[in-house]
Amino acid sequence: MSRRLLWPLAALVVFLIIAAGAPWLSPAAPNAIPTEGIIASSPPSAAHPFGTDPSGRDVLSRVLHGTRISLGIALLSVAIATTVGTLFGALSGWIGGRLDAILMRLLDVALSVPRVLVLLCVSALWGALPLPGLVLLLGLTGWYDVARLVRGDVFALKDREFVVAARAMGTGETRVLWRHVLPHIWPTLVVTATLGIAHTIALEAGLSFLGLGVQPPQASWGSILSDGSAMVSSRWWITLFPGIAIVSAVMTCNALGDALRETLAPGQVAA
Amino acid sequence: MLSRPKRAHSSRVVARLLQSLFVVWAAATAAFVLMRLAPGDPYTTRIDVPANERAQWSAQRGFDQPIPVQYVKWLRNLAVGDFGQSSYFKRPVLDVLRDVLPRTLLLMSLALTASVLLGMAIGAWQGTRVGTTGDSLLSTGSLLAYSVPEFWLGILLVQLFAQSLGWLPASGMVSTEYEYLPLSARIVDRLRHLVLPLTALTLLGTSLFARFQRSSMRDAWNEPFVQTARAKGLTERGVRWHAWRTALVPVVTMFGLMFPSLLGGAVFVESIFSWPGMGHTAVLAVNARDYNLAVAAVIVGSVMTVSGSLLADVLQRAVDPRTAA
Amino acid sequence: MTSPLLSVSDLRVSFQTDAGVARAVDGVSFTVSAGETVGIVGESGCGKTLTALSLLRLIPSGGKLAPSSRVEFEGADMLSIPERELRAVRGRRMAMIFQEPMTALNPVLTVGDQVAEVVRVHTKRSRSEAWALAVAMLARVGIPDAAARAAQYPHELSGGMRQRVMIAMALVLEPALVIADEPTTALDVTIQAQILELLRELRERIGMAVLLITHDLGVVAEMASRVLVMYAGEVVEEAPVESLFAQPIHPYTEGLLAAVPSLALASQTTQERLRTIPGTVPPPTAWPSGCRFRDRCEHAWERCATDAPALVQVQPAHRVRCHLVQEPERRRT
Repeated sequence: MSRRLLWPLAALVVFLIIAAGAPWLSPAAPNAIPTEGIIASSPPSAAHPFGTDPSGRDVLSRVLHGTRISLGIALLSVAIATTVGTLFGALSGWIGGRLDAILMRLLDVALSVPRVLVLLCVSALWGALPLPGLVLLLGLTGWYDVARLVRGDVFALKDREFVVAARAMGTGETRVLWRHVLPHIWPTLVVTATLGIAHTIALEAGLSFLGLGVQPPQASWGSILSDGSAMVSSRWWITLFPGIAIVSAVMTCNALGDALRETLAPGQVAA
Repeated sequence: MLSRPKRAHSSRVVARLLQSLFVVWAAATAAFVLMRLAPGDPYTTRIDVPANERAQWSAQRGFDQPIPVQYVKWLRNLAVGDFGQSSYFKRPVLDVLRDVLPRTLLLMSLALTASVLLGMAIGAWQGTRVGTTGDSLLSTGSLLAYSVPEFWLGILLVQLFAQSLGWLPASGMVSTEYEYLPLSARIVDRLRHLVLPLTALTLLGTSLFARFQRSSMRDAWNEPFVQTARAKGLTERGVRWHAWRTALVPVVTMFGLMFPSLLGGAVFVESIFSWPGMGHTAVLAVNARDYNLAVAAVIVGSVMTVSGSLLADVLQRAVDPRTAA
Repeated sequence: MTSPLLSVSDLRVSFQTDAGVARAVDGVSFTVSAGETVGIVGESGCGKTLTALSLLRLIPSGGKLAPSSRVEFEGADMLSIPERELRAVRGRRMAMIFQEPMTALNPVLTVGDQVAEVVRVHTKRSRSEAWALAVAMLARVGIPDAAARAAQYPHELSGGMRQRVMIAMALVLEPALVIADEPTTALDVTIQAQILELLRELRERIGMAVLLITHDLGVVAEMASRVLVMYAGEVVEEAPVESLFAQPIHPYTEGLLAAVPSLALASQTTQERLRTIPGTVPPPTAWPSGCRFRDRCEHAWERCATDAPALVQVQPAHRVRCHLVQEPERRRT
C-alpha cells in the first residue's frame, strides 16, 4: 500500500476510535454543567484541557462526543447520497434515450440551486430538524454529482465487449447491470464518497454553526462553535479546538480521496 | 463517440438559452412549492400580532388561496420582474435585491479573480515540478486550505485580526462614521472592510484552482507536444507556455462552475462578517420566514449557477478549438 | 576527408528504476555525414528512440548520461554546450520529426502558428513574415490550399496532413540534419508511401542529412544508404544498406530480414516460411551476460554466455558484434 494512502487511513482509524470510544475517553459528560461554583467559560486548565464553554461544560468532552455526531451524520448522509445517486445514474445511463434526457434535465435543475441555499431554506422553515431529518436532508441534497459520474461510467461501459457478450449470452438486463457493469464503477463511488464525507463534515459544521443543523444541547463540532459564543475573542479555545477537529477530519478525508483517486484511477473504465 | 448532427451556431445558442431559462423556471417553481409546503407563515415568528389581524394580512397577500392559484399569480408577477413584498424588510423584494446583490457580486468577483490568478500561478508552477519538495509543500498547503471551512476561517480571522490585534474591522462594509469621512479615507475604509471577508473567501478558491491547475498542468507536461516544443528550440519559458495553454482548458471551465460553491461560501462568510449581501440576507430571510425574499434568493442562486455554466461553455469554446463550433 | 556532420561516440543513457539501473542506451557510436541518410532499426525497447532524443539532448526526466558520452554536431558537443547554444541548434540546424503527429502537435494552436513559431524563435523575422514563410513551407510539403489550412487546428486535419505539418515544422529553416523517429508508423499504408516520397524529395532539394529511426526494414531499404541495427541498447551491426540486405551477418539482423514478407521472398529462393525471432527484448535492467542476444539466438554456444562480443570490422564499412565472425563454423544451417 502506498504511503500516501497509509497516513490518511491511519488518521481515519483514529477518528473512528474516538467516535466509538467517546464516552470512555471523555473526562466528563458532554452536557454536564458544574453543580458548584460559578457557571462560566474558563480557559484551558489541567481539569479542562480544552477549557469550558459559557455553560461551564467541558469542551474536550464535547469535542470527543461531537466526533460521533459529526462523523455519524457525514457517513450516513453520504451513504444515502451514494445509494440514491448510483440508482439514479445507473438507471439513466443504462436505459438511456428519453428517460435519460428527462432525468438529466432534472439533474440540471437540482444542480442549479446552490446546495447551501436549499439546506438553509429547509432547515430554517421546518424548524429544528431532528438528527435523522438532518441526515436525510444532507443525503438527499448530496447525490447529484454521484448520479452524474455513475451515469457517465455506465454510459461508457454499456457498449463494451464484455457487456455486449454477456447480453448476447442471454443474461438478463438486471443481472448484466449488477454483475458486469456496477463492479466497474466502484472506484468512482469510493473516491466520490470519500470526498463527499469531507464536504459533508464541513457543511454540517457550517449549518450547525448558523444554528440550523444539530440542535443544542447536542454536541457536534459545528454546534460547539455556535453555542459557545465563539465570536468573543477572549474565548479562543471554544473556536480553536472544535475547529481543529473539523479541519483535521476534513483534511483526512480529502487526502484519502486524493490518494484513492490515484490508486484506483476511477473514470478510466473505458480504458 | 457519437457524432452530433451539425446545427447552425445561432440555433444552438438559442436552444442553450432556452434550456437555461427552463432550469431557472423549474428551480423557482420548486422553491415556491417548498416554501408553501413549509409549516407556518411569515407571522409565525410574530407573537405580537392578534389572530384576526394575521388572517387579514394573510388574505391581503393571497396566502389563503389554493396553492395553484397563488402560483399562477406569483408566476405572472415574476414574469414582469415583480418578486412581491419582503415581509422582513417591509419593502419590495426587487428593491432589496438591488441593494444586496451588487455587494455579493463585488465580494464574489474579487474573490474569484484573486483565486483564479493565485491558484493558476501556484498550480502551474507545481505542475512542471511534480514530486519536488516545493511541490509537496504547496500540495500539502493547498490540501489544508481546501479543508478549512470558510466560516471557521472567518471566525479565526475576526478573532485574530479584528479582536486581538485590532488591525481590521470585523463586520459590515463601512464604518459608522463613513459619511463624515473625506473621499480618500472613504476608499481606505471600504478596502479595510473588504480584507477579511475577501481573504476567507479567496483561500478556498485559490486552493481549489491550484489543485486543479496542478493536475491539468502535470498532464499537459507529459504530453509529447512538450517534447516537440523543446525540439523546436524554444526556451523553457516558451515550452511551459505551450503546456500551460492546453492546461488552461479544464481550469477555465472550472471558473464558471465555481459560481455555486462560491455563493455557498458567501452565505457563511457574509454571515460571519455581517456583510449585507445576498448570502447574509438569505439567512435573515429564511429565519424570518420571508417567503418572497427566500424564493428570490433561490432564483438568484439559480440564475448565477446557470450563467456560470453558460460562461464555462463560452470560455471553453474560446480556449479550446476542439470544442468550438 | 572532412569531419562528419554528426559524430556520436560511446553514448550511454541509464535510468534508475525500482528494478535497478536500466542501461537503455549502452555505448552507441556512429557518424552521419552531410547529406547522408542513415537508418537505425530495431524492435521497440532496443533504445533507438532514446538514442535519437539524446542527440538533441532531449533525455526524458530521470535519464542519466554517462560522462564519457559525446555527441559532436557541426563541431559542438551537444551534450555539454550551454542551454542557449543548444536551443539555437534545436529546430534550426538539427530538427526532429516525431512519430505520432496527433499528440506531437499542440492541440490548441493553429498549425500555421506552430510552424511559424520555429521561424520566430530562431530568426528576427516579423510575425507576418514568419507566417508567410510557414504558409509557403506548408505548401511545399504538399498541403493543398496552405493559406487556409495554416489557420486550422491539428484535429481538423487528416493523419497524413498532420504528419506533413510535422515535416514542415522540422524543415522550415532547412536544417542540416533531420531526425525522423518512425515518421510513417502512425499512418495508413497508402499515406506512408506519400510521406516517404515527400521526405526523399525534400532531402534532395534541401540537401540535408536524415537519421531515420524505424522498425521497418522496408522503409530503410527505400530511404537509407547506411544502416545501424540496434539490439538491447547496443549497435549489433552496421553496414551499407546493400551489403546488409545481401549478406547480413548478425543473427538478429538475419532474423529481422527474414521477418519482412517482401524481403524474405526476394532474398530466399526456397519456399521457406516467414520466420519470426523467438522471444522478446529483455528488460533494460537485466541484459543477459555475454552476448545480449544469446537467449534468442539459434547459433549460441558457451562462449556467448561468458564473453561479450565486440563490434568488429568485417569489411571496410561493415561492422558486426557477434562471435560468429571469429568462429563462422559455429553457424548452424
